[in-house]
Amino acid sequence: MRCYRHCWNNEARGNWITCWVGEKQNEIWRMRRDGEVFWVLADEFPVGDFVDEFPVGDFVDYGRRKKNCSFLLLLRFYFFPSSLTLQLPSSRKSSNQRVVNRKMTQSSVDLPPKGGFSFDLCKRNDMLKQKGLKAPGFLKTGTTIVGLIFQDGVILGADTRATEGPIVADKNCEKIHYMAPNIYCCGAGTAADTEAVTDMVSSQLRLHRFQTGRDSRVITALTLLKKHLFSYQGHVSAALVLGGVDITGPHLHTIYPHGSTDTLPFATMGSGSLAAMAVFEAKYKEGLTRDEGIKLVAEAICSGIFNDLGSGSNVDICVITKGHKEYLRNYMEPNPRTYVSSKGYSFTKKTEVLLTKITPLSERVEVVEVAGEAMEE
Amino acid sequence: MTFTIPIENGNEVKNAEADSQRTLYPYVTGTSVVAIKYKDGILMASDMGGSYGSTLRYKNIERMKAIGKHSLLGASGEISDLQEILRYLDELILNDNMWDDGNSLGPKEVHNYLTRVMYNRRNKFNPLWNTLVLGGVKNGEKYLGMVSMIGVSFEDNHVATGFGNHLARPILRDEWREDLSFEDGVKLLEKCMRVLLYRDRSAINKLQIAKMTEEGVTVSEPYSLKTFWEFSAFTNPTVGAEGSW
Repeated sequence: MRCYRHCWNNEARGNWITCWVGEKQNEIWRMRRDGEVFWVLADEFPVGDFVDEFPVGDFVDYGRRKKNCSFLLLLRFYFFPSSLTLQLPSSRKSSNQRVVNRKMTQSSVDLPPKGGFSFDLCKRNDMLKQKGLKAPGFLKTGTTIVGLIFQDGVILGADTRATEGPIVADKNCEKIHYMAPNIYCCGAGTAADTEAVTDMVSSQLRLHRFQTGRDSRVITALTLLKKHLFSYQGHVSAALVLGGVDITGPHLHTIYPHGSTDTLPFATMGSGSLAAMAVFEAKYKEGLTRDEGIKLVAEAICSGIFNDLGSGSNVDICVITKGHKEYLRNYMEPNPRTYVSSKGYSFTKKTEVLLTKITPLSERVEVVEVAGEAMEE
Repeated sequence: MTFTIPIENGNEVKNAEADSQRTLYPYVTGTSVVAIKYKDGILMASDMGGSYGSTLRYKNIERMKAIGKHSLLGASGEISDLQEILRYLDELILNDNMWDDGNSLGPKEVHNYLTRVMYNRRNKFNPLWNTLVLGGVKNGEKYLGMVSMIGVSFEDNHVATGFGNHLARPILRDEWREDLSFEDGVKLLEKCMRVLLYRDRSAINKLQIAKMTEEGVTVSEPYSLKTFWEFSAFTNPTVGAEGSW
């Protein structure tokens, strides 16, 4: 059985999707966009109308039906929901009906479950872009995120600016995400991606903790994130700095959007990573104390804030040690709003109020309690 | 020489031979130069590598030269264009000496000359593919400026080219002071060059530091920096998870 996708965007016919069913006779099923089915005889279409053979997933503009071939047209199309059932008109009786019926029962086609990323919509997006549709912009974080290992554990740091192109969308967002009581993750890249991916892995870790009865390990989070990001081939634009302390000790990892990871004593990511890395490379040493570590992390984030345009506002810090964590939100605020006009703002009066009358709405509206079934009509 | 062929509508088209004489890409390049003003004058540091694409082809290129009595030029980018610039400056200084009037071109004048040259070349779509750092001392006044290949020029207390802009400038903005001594200045420059050595792929561990004061220019012998690779996370990255990466 050959399957086809067919799109016939003919103005004269008003955006109908047409499909061919049947062997000898040119039975034609026409389906409208909202899913209602009609069928018409082939006389409407001149013999010799063709349809080409295409593998599932291709779009064609026009097709000519071959003579004497039997095929079932797959009605799935990018405007349609994924599973459709065709209805046979009950009055139609033909020798082909049996054949048609058998094929019809398979019409609600379930595709085999696909693993990995489904790239169908990528083709559609390309086509839409060619037709001139402007893709919606997305909120990026344009960030400086850092992590370092000190003598008792891990310190993570992040700035708090979220940018949408040249505009600062959020002056004080939170880039250090919770993964487990002993694991936190900083995220750079597309804000939605970092949020979603860290939330998802955090839930998975919680379920895993229920199952195993033990504290989560940092490499567990690392592997879950890495697998997810790799399967999306870099389209999930999340660059993460993952840090935590588990039974095996303190760990710090970086995860790149394509799924590669590094294990490091100190790490930076984001647009301000070079500025922060300069500070780390110059000043990091092993065996830092807690205060030295916090000071160095704050210095690195400030270096990112002041030298990179994509980072700004305040410094967030998270200190994780064995059995204990401290989330210092807005640890430093090096960009306060220093001047606020004491006079405030006065707006000149434009309209004069002549009369004020208050009418309670319950006088005008009748509120009737109905039994629960009313809504179901 | 450029050959132009007029066509019907009056526009002129350069032919292919002329095109091949414009600089389109850099071939042999030098990496960053970092320079600061200190108490007695200017300190400038650069490494001695010349990369041919991703190959480290030349390891003995001096990218810092004295210009006249009062200036010091450091350049990153295309090495052949640097040599061309040195020829231009040679001619400039020679003509200045021939006047024999007791005055000599100072760093401000040389910087201005270079800005004009770079901007003019850019306007002709035939740039000299360099970012130049010009420092000097004349009559007790210190001067440090930079010109890029498109003619952007400015003057500052500390400048860096190429990758140094991203890695060295944050450190310099934090730690530069007006009255650095020679030793402190060298330590600061070495800190920046060490970070560049770690994080810039085209940097090599063979650098020179040049000092420019009222007395003149001294370019040091090439030497190398000490690096540290013994972090425990490097020696055993997969502790607790043997077999992973």
